[in-house]
Amino acid sequence: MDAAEAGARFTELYERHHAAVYGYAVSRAGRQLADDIVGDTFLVAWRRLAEVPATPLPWLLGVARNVIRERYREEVRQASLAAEMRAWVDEAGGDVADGVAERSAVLGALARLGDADRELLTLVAWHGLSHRAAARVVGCSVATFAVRLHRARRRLEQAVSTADEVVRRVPSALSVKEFSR
Amino acid sequence: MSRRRDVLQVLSESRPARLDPGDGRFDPAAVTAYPRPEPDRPAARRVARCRLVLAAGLVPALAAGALAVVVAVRPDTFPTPRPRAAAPSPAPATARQLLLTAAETVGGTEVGTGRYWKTVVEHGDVRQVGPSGGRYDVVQRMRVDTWYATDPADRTWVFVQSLGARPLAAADEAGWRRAGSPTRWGEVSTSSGERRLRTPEGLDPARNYLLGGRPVTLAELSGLPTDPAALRAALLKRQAGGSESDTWSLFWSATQLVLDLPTTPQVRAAAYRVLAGLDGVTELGPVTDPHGRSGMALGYTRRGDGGLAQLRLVVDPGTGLALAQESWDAGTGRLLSYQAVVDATWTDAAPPKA
Repeated sequence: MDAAEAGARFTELYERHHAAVYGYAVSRAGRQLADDIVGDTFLVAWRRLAEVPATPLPWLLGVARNVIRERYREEVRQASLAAEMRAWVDEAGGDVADGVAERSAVLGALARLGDADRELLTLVAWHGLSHRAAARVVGCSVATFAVRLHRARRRLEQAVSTADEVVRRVPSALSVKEFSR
Repeated sequence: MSRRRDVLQVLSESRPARLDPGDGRFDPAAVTAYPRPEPDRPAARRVARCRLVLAAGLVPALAAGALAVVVAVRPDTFPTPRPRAAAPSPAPATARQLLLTAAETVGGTEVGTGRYWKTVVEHGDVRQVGPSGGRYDVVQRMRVDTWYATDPADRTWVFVQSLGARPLAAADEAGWRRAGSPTRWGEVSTSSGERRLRTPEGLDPARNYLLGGRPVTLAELSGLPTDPAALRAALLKRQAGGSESDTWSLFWSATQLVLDLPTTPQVRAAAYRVLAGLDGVTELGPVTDPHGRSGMALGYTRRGDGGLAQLRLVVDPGTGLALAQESWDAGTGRLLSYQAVVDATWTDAAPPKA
């Protein structure tokens, strides 16, 4: 692969997948850190272009996952993500379309789940990954992934039920709870 | 479940618009401008680079020279060398000696206790900003105060305060001035914020702490062995099944034990001795840590997904305290991020009001 070919291949990789990598970075670490994570992820892809598989997205998200783990301390990521999740609930609440309450409730519930559950659910629901691809991102077998996703989904259902009651009674309870449990 | 729509379907439809990139388009040319390793000989190149960095630690006097070679790659972003300590403690000749000295000093201090284990840590993240052709580095700083409750009846408090961003080094400050001394870059700004209560949702007081990236209880931390060989085995057992090399995971775990985890001085001393026994840990000479304190730097270099990464630990040999941890891109010689431990102590005081 000569320099021009590598450049063309990288540019195509970038054009096709940068939005997905950005979305993943926002969902894992918040907008505040997302640009840097995307930059570092594609820098890795550029340096290891020969290793990028035919279906690049799971590989790219796996790299992004490692970049997040290596660059940021857990509490920094969590603080940024907490701010991000509040913005999601606010954004959904400001929407005038039908199903606003349902959307706020599911996003609020998602914010109250454990981090691992949230990762599995969003990989499938927001990043459009098959179980096989998502399993590759988090580094487990497809069977293990299916079991973990099933549990995560059940916990999300439970969290939505409790969120419904909270939302009905005190509209602002979600964000307050998130700050100061 | 029967009365509801499928929850994953609802979640899919609730995908926040904030997940979509804004209009600030990133130019792929900013990435392709970086050199790529030779496709036919990546392994050979990797070893050569490794040796360069590792050799720097063996003889501190040579470190500056070796680093200068790295500087040649991107001189504009390399931080200025930090000044020597004003009154440096007698510098141990090797990393091993430095760590054993720290172990002896810290091992003699008293075991503490209290209602809270309180840590104050300054986090710094380096970001490249500025117009193309005039890029410079700023460091975005954040102070995190954590009051870890030891009594299950109490709660743990986390306060986060943005300290604002500033140019990283003299060269960056010059670049910043050339760019017209801006005070905001996207979501990053030079002004500091208010201290805010940001206890993460789902923080289980019984499993507050992270050791090697996995939750650990205060009881588990207190029960760690004080014998270095036994501690080493216990740390490896905790990390079993991970994808990291033993040396790296030991460096990571032992570093956290000496930095800001509530362990006894004896466990901390054992952690220093574990570090002293690791191959590839090198001494990088006297430095000033990101919080302006004098210390000695130790480094461990590894190939991560982010390239050739070097984790540095700054230790004050006089007190045996670990001051800070820094993450460097050893390929480009750029500082990526740091955590400076400003305070890590037992207290019976009440946390401040939010």
